Amino acid sequence: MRHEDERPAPYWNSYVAGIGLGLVLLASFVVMGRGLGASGAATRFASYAVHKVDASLGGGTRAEADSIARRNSYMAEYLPREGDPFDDFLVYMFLGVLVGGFVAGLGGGRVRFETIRGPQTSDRRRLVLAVLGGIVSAYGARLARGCTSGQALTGGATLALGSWAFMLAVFAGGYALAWFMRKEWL
Amino acid sequence: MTSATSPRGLEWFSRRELAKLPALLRVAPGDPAHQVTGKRILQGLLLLLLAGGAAGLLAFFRGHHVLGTTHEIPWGVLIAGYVFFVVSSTGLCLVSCLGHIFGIEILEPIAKRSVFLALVMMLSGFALIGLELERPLLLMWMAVASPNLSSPIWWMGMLYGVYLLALAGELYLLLARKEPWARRVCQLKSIVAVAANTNLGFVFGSLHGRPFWFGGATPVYFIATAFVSGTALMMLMVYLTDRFSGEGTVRPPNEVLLRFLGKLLGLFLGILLLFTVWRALAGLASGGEHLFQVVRSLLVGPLFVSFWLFEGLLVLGLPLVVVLSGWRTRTGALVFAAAVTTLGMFLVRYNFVYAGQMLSLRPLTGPMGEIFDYSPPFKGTVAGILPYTPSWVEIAIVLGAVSFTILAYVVGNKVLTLGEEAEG
Repeated sequence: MRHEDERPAPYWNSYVAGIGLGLVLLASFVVMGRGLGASGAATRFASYAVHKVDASLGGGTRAEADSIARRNSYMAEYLPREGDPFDDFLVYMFLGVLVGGFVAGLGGGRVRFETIRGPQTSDRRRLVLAVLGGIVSAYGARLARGCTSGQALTGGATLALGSWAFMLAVFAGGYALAWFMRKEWL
Repeated sequence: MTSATSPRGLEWFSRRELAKLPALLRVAPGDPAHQVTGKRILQGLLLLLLAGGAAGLLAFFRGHHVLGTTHEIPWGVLIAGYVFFVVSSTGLCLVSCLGHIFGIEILEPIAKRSVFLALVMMLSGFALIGLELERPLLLMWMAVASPNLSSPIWWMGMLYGVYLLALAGELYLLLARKEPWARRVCQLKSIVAVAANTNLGFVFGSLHGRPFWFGGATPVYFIATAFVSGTALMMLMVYLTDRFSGEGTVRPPNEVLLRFLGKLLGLFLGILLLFTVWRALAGLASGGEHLFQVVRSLLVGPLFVSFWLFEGLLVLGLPLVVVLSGWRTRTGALVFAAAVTTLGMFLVRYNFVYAGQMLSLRPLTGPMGEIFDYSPPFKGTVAGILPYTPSWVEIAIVLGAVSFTILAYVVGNKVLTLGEEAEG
């Protein structure tokens, strides 16, 4: 175990990490018959949470059959009447990413409670902006029918036109907003 | 000392502190940051307690109509909450008794606090099961007027009732500084606590119609989880009491105590890990379709997320990483381990209660009503699983019980001389 004063291990070389990620994607196609994705799992969790909270407010188990999530055609897709709403490759992958990230952090000596932010901003402001950014990008990901994993990585690897358009739009959006947000990091 | 303002014979009770209780919630301009945070949290807890009280009244007067339980899932989150509170109380009592019985001196300074918290948790647990039973007053009367000695549930009430009285008696003796008597009561109370806790396990373990609960291992599993919950709660109690009072930092002797409790937590988590692994493997190896399907549901089925996330990551994974690594010397990491263990243990109870009932016990019938299979209406699929969603009333009652426990502990810590700083 590392001591407190010991520096964390340097990050991987980004080209090596990129090749590793590509191999994971390839393995995913070979083993599971489909590519990677992240926002799909989050949608399942969100649909399940909306379903349960609404049923809970409606009186509990008896209100499950007609919850607001079941009536919503988009969310209902993720809530099968019979079977498991979480029985999906992306859910397992999502949990695996969390565990893998934690293990990698442990190995690199980077696990600690901290708010990563620029020198000119406060913790609170950084957290509020992160939550707002998360909401906007999650909404955008579902509008685009995929996120940077599902569209850019998986779709891009199959040379899908929509996925490349998505990726260019993400970069364009990022560059366009960078000037306005630069004070948060510089 | 508080005796100057206390009635004769009640030197351990501070009337002055009682009068100052409203100030616990009022944020004053000169308050240090940690006290402001503490007061804001208490204000939030008071609101939750009021919501819980309102929901409790609804449940008391309207009965099961306002709960999410059904004929096929009759035990819901209130039962899970009850199990959490009373088992944690037992664990707290047993761990604190280690100090008295085995002479572990480091635990002795927190004996009074532990007993008081165990007492409050018992009251919360009884409140939860009382509201779940729909007619708690009738229960109290019938338990005495018409006892069923062959019922584990009757014994549960009786043993936990005796345990509650023993806790109250021990607390009084500790406060009145009658240590030799307190030590004797503590020893007796430990025996009652083990009996009550394992008997609660037997309430589940004796139900042969519910294979997931049935078996002699269930009472032993309960006592193992009691030690885990009790140790984690004790760590949280020690940390939070220091953190939100005085200087707002953990006092050096308590840092040593936290490290000791961290080691204990590691030991108990190791035992629980073995239990969990062997229980799961035994379930998978069982010939019965019912038990196999429940364990399968937990490992790779509908309860996959709650099993791996709550039981695997929160209770066993993260805390074990902390207590087995170099982090075990860091107070913050130990408190994190205790917090996730406590939260996880609540969810483990919920999983345990629900998983035992998730498969329908109704026989599969043909179009003419003929019974041709008593096994659940599926083979190797997850269809046929009974849903359960707690109603907001149930959730509010549980949150109210959690709030009551914390608020009552804070008030007790102020008004009674539970620790060294309360006497100063």
